[in-house]
Amino acid sequence: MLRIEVGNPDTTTVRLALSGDLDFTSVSELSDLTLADGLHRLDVDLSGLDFIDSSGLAALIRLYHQAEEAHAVFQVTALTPYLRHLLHTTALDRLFRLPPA
Amino acid sequence: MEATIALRLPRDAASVPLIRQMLDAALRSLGVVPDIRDDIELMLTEACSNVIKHADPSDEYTVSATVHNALCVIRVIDTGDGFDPHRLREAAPGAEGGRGVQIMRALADDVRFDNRREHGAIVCLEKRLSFLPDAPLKAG
Repeated sequence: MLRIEVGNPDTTTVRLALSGDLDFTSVSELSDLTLADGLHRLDVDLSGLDFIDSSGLAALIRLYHQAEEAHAVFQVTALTPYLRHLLHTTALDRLFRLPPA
Repeated sequence: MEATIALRLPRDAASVPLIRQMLDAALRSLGVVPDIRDDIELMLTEACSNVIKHADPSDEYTVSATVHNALCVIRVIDTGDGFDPHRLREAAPGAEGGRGVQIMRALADDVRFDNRREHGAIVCLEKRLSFLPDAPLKAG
């Protein structure tokens, strides 16, 4: 099961906190999100994720590209050590901004 | 000691979290360390997801997992049309798709793709296991 919490600390920032399992059975919930106009910053907290697969990674890449198109900064604000290892394995640590280890 | 579990599953997306959690519970009860279990969960998910997405026209598939001599061998077998392993490509850095095979190759100690002519495909994944100090089933 996937849970998505959406926060708007200010009018130009969106904060997503994901928890549970982000895999191809749940990924549509994330893909269905649309970003509002005027976004400057998209913060994504992945520290609550128990599991992610390549479909989940693809959804994060899609969000990254959406943010980029909107000229907004996409940033992973928190993640688990395992997820950091996985993002490194898939070279996505070179695409995403990650918090310091 | 050798232990095998094998399951025939419907080719339905809901089967993937099910088999993932079952295998994880089995490996946990054998005392396999968490990092290795996480890798195996992900490898297995990628192999099964491929069957769900691509193995037309089969409506079932089989997963077997054998633990022997601190090696876990997983076979995911479908009865679809098969695929050409030489056409599997690495993902471009910013591309959304194509990471499943990359993940399997990175996390498994060995990955083999086999096609049985007109009888579907087999993905065979091997992972060396490490056990917690109090594990009931140590290497050997």
